[in-house]
Amino acid sequence: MANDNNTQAILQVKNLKKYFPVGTGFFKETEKYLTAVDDISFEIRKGETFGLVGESGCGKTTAGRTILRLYEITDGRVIFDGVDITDISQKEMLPFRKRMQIIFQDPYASLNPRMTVTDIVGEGIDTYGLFKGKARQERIYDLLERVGLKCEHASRYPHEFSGGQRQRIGVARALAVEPDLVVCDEPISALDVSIQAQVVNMLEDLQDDMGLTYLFIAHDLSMVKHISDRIGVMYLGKLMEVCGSRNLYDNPLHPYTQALLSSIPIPDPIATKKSKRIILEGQVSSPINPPEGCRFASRCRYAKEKCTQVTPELRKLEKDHNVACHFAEEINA
Amino acid sequence: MKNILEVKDLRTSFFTHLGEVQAVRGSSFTMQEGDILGIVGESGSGKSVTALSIMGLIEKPGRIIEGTITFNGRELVGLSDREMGQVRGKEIAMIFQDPMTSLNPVYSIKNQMVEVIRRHTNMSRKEAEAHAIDMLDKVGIPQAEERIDSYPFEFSGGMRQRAMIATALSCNPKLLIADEPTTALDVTIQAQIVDLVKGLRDEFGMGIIWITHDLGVIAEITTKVIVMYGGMVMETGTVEEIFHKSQHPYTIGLHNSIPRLDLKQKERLIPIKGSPPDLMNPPEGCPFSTRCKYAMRVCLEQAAPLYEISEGHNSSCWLLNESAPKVDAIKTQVKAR
Repeated sequence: MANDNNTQAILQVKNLKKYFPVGTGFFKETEKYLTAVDDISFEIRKGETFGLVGESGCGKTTAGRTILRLYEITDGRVIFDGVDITDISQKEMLPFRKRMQIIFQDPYASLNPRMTVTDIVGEGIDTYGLFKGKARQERIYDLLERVGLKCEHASRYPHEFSGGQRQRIGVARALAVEPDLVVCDEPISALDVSIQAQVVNMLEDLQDDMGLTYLFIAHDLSMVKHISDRIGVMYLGKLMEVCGSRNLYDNPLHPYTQALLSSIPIPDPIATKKSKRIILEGQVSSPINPPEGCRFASRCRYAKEKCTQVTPELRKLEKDHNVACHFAEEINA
Repeated sequence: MKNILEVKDLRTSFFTHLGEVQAVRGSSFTMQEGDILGIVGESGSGKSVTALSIMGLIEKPGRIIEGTITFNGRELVGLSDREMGQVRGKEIAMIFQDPMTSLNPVYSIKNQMVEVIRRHTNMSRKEAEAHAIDMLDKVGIPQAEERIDSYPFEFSGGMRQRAMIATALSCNPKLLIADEPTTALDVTIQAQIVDLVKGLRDEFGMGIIWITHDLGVIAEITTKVIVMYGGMVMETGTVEEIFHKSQHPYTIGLHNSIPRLDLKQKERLIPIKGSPPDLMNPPEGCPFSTRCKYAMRVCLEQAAPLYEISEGHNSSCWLLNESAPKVDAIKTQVKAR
């Protein structure tokens, strides 16, 4: 795992916010906002995999897309490789788009059914004029082979492929422009168990070969832990805990992380019998105009008065281990 | 122990305009009183169609072609719609993956629950309502008396699933079939539901068939497991046998392809090569033969019978034949822990 000092951050996210207005009307001023991402900060180091986990609606996908400026940023800064890309124009953004790519969750919806694999993978190459003519075709063949497909697949259409193969096409498309950072937005959730491991191994190999940095977004904590070097846990738009992936499992400090980890069933009947469960009461509250204080307070078994009044900041508790909880020390003492 | 359910050589196919999709191809298993039976498999393995066949819910163009389903000594295949209607909901109840689409959005929860209860019992409307409130209370819906008048859209995913469970158990069924009941839910809610169902089983004592692709949930809740692949049963056994003494390359392959949260060292996953078979045109032999690294010629030609390893632990693999080469894969088992 990378140290604090010797690796530089390729991506810095500072106090990022993304609010969506809800209940807008033609004459009506909107007052309600859905706070999908609310003041999150983290950085991703070159060559590492940063995992972002959380339950549905916690804002992890929105965070990924806002970082790529696929959504307009409400507030905060995104700094990519030392350059602040928060306010630059779409035209100025183009060279950065080449360096930041995305793989989507649903391999059935993210490929244009009327384009052949060559067209899909070649589109980015053409946009940036990277290769022309024969070199372009060879580049596409090379990419297909890298993701475990064959040259003869190049002239086929997406419907001729299985889910796992389609996801491979999505990966080839992302890699075609030689990016530095790839946002993997739930790339394996739609795949069968036996196929998931194929895709994960492929992503790991490609990272080693091409020196990629991943932002890996998923709700499956076991898989995120497997692939990530560091992990951020999100809950209702806020980052609750950020630390090394090994550490997150051995020594979770936030009560939400602890509950989340204990709810994940372990595929081993003997280990399951030994493990202790924390069953969370209630459900995730609404992200529309959330109240002051810790977002998790309503479900937290340690919640005190302060938790409903003051929003906890993400603070460093141990080396490389940040937690947003007022009482983290007491709870874990 | 009494067998409450016996499925024998079940074959269910769907006749589409493209051809016959053989969703279930001769599966057999038994279930005893008090078992929580897990059926695990990937999409297209035939696990849901098996459940729907038991419930008599296979609709055109699908049909049960062959086989018997004996429930409590009674043959279910071939029952008329009317006869099956008395079994379904009363003796065998089912809950589904997506509670939003399985609850009717234009009727209140009360309406839907009372309908089920009155159909199968002699209760008056008032008694049925009281019973419904009681059931909602049991599944942990707060202020059940008020919430019973809600409509499905007013409930969250977890609460809808609770309401479904309350409805399913309202007539005290002997068997509850749960088809991926937690797949659409978040893990913290999944933990609540699993916990709830375990508690309800101790209270009501019904048998449960729990269908899922998630080996974690299987380990958590079931006592016996059936592993399905390509419409066939690959292995059956107790949950410990399936997880720790598996004798089938597919089961072992599944174990090795999922990451373990509690493993100290990061290990590379061992995926299963290739992709699941096309059920329109299934392989002649073992459905797993095209992906199995131990496949022999016989595997490609003929599906293996279920070999008995110990009582109740059966595996459909030619490697267990006495004349088969001894492969250490089956002995070395899943990654050392």
